[in-house]
Amino acid sequence: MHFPVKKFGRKEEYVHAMDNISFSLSKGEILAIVGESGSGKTTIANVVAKLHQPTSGKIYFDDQDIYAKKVRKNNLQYRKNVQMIFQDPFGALNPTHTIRSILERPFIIHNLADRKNVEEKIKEVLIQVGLEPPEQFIDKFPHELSGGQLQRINIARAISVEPVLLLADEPTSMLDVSIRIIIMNMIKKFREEDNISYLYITHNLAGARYIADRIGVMYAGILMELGPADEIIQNAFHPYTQLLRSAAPQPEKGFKDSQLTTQGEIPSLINPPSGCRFHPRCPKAMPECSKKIPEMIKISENHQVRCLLY
Amino acid sequence: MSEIVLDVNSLEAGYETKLGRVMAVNDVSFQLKKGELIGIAGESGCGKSTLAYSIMNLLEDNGRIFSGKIDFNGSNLVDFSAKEIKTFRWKEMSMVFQSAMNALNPVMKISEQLIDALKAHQRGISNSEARTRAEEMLELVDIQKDRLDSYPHQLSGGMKQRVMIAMAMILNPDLIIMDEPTTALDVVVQRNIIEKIEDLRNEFNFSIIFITHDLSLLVEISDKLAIMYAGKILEIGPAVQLYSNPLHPYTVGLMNSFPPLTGEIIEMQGIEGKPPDLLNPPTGCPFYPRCQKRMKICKEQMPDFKEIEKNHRVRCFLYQGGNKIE
Repeated sequence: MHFPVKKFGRKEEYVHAMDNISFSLSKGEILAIVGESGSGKTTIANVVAKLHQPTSGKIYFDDQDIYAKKVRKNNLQYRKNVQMIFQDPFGALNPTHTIRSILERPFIIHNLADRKNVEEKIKEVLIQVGLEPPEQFIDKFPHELSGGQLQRINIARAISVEPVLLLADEPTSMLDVSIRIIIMNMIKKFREEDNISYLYITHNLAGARYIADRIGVMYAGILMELGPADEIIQNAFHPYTQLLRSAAPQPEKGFKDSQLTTQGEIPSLINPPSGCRFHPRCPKAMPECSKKIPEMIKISENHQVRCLLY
Repeated sequence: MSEIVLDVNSLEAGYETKLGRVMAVNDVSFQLKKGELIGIAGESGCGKSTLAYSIMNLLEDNGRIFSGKIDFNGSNLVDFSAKEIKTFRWKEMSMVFQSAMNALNPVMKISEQLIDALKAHQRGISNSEARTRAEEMLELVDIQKDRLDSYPHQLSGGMKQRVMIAMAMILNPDLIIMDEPTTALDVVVQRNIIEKIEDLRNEFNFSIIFITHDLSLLVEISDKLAIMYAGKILEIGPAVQLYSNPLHPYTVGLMNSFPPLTGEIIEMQGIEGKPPDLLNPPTGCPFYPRCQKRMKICKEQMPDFKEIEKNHRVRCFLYQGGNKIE
């Protein structure tokens, strides 16, 4: 699968949520997109989910342009292959439907079960996400379950159609800490067992390292660095990645007495800074940095960075 | 030796509802010295916010303190009348609320809000004095003077939170309670705010109660750390010790929920299950259903605190000669 996508805008002023984003995702791979709020990372997921059509550029799924006529005619197939789970487990579910009703729909819509065997399928998928015994949950309403349980329902709904790619947009940020790891372990389990690929959006660098094979770092709509998860963190090249790294809490390192070297906040995406969008805050900025956006350069086999320092 | 500024003793507080009492704070005790930072770690529903509001006497509607003592600089706050609380609040103890976006009045300039806080608690201060003080405070938190007349929506999240900190400090209180002050912010902004809080604490030597679910952050900044669950403090001690030697199974589970940034990537466990209903608090230890090391006695009785290392105490039968693990 290959996704080169370019500018994205709306209304008269343009929110430059994504600029010149290019990356590819292999089968069974977990790619984490890490960035702070307003970096454009959620937009990537939304664009792949066909919630927005990109202003320019192409997205290829299984070697096919997802906006090609052939794919558009069989949109249902795309929806089966590409599923999504969202940040707010409550918001994603219809509060007036029982769990049974919620989990039935994907099976029925995609013709994966009929009225006779759908209950059995629902119970299977509930067990897969750790909600046992399934009878205890099947007739409940969303408000009767906890955030962690609901997110499992969301995952159950997504994997029930046996997708190829799962887009996860901050799936654990609204959950209690002790449950986050459990959900992340579950996501990894489905990758191991069913070879599901994930595009995992998060602002948590440590979580990304735990779960992902590769990490892409987004800042103000631009992909700044892309490479193997652990390498990006231990050997960050881009000054912004280094900043994220040093800002994250690190209790295992003991008392931190080095101060952050930058202040400032994320720029507006309507009028982003010229050239490299990080240059106003960058401790290593050079005059050339404000002139134009640097190209992505290969630092090593799998590791790319967009920075004039290299 | 630092003297004790706050002494909370067997505090019980919560909410009266039609279905009964919600015991959000269920027998909580701890002490805080001058200039010390105590971190209160806990997940949603553990009672940490109710604890904060109780100490500040800000419980509204059906919230109330049921029993216990809150000794602050020698006086028992629980006994204070509404009038006495008003004169003491903000001057001696103040609060930084969660999600500053919601705590600031959207139709007032921040200068007006800072000045408002000053004039409400310091009689006789003139407008120009108040304005000067407001400017000083904003400078302290690295906000340019020219932003003094901005409205909240014109500021970024990080800036709004810094305004809240400025407002909490404006009368030089001895204690500031911070309830999830950085949760809604990005990690870089969070780091800046934490560093600023540290600088200010070093300069003005106020004590802080820092409440959050982010244990990894607390381990870094706290002197003392308390782990709260279902209205109770299960473990308390110096932060460094709690991190290197967590005693309570819940603390161990929590530590096992934060993937590290460095070191080996190993599979972590988290904690299955969810906290108990505080409307009907269970007898015995509230962590019993989720505990890997539970014993029969844990269901029946709540253990007392036992000191295991210097100043490091835990409420758990594992350390009190309990018998077999189930």
